[in-house]
Amino acid sequence: MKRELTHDEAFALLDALAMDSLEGREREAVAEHAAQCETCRPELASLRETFAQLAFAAPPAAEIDGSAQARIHSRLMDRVAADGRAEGAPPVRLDLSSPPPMSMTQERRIISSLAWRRAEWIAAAASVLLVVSIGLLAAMLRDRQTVHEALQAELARSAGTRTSNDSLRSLIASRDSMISGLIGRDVAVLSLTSAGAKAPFARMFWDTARNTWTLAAHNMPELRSGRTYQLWLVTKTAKISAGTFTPTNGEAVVRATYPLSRDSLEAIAVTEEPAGGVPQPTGAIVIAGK
Amino acid sequence: MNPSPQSGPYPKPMASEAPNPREVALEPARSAHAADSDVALVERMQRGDQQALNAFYARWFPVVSALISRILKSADDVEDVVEETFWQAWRQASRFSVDRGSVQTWVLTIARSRALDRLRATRRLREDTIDEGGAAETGAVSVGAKLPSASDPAMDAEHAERRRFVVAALSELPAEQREALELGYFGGLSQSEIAERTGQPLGTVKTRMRLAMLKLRDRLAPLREETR
Repeated sequence: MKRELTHDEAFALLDALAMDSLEGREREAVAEHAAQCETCRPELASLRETFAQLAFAAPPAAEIDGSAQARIHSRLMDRVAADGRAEGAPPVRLDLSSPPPMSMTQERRIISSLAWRRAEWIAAAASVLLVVSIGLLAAMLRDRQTVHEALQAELARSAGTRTSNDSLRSLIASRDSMISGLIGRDVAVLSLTSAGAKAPFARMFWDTARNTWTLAAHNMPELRSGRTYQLWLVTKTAKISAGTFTPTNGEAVVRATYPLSRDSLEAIAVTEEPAGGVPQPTGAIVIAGK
Repeated sequence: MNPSPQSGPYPKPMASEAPNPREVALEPARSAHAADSDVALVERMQRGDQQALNAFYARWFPVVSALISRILKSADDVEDVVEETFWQAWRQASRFSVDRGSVQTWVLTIARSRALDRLRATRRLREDTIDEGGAAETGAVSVGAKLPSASDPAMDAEHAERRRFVVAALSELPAEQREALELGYFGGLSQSEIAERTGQPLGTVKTRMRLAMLKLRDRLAPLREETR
């Protein structure tokens, strides 16, 4: 069962809610309290305003130039036009109201001027015409609905395709980047070995031109719960963390970006550390090399 | 920094041409609504006014694209998410209420949320990747950098000033508080994820972020007053 927070408890968590960094039930509980509390609601709004200001710290987007701005704008306006919400273009409505009825005088005049049989024939013809017209109108409406549904399905399908295309493109770019980090002209290959029984080993591909590091590790012993492997770039003056990783079936591929001159690298090592990593190595070296 | 009104690469519309929404966005200073407040623009968008959307796009494109570009690496992703942000602003303009916050917070929250959605979707597809130059790259902030092609010079100047102010306020924070805040905002990490990433206890991370937020709020108070 969900426990309601006290005012003090909720108030202390407002900053985390504003920063969107609460999870699960805690998030719901604080949000519920803030929505009803006269003190917390304005405080939350104020913190959210503050948090949003961080957007201004982002450096200008170098890859978004004027042509990209125009391209995005063009796509946006196409969507707006397709949406049909534009001002001055109210939704088209079909007028299905009946025509005004004839007056009695008009009716009498017509009836008196025609023979009964002819009037019946005209009435029958008019009825047929009306039925045909209604049928055509219904068919047109059905067609319109069908086209509308097909369009919606096509839009949904193309949105899905575009999303998966984007994902695939990102994946391919990531793979390309990794491949060039392995086979590039400026890539130095270093072997990391150990004296352990199962002999874990690894190769580090250091692209000195792009400052990328790709470690391919094999036969890594399984980690205990709450532990992680941490990769270190060792120089004469420092041991620099290049990140943590957890192998799958003893295998791991780890990538990092860190600028380092060729001369300053003394060694590369992997240690076992507490989950989350540590600022400086504390555990035993599992593999190392230069 | 005050970018020239003529710095955009687009042709000016002919005076005799009928108003074209696509061109109005490129020359917002000439439109009849150029001086509209953010709230007035959104109110017009609520009524389906495309001209308002154009002005809104011109005004917020630089900040929105910079924010999304800070979160995402791929230029294609950035373009898609910028488009999605303005599309959502257009479709959901009716949901905006000034009682709940400023237009600035509204549109930047949309942009950040969409960018983080894309970031998480992309992460799920990738192998575990360590990128020290990623979201925690605080040093990438450069106060003197020039905004991209200006489409609303007055607003660009105001945003540039706002940027100086925010960057200065961030730089006054202790490095560990700034790191936690930026991992949360630009990296979309929860407090527990930040604790894991930085190797610090969760309680320490919470304290750092709270202190950072309170300091920032004091420091940025003048900006919030202007936004209202």
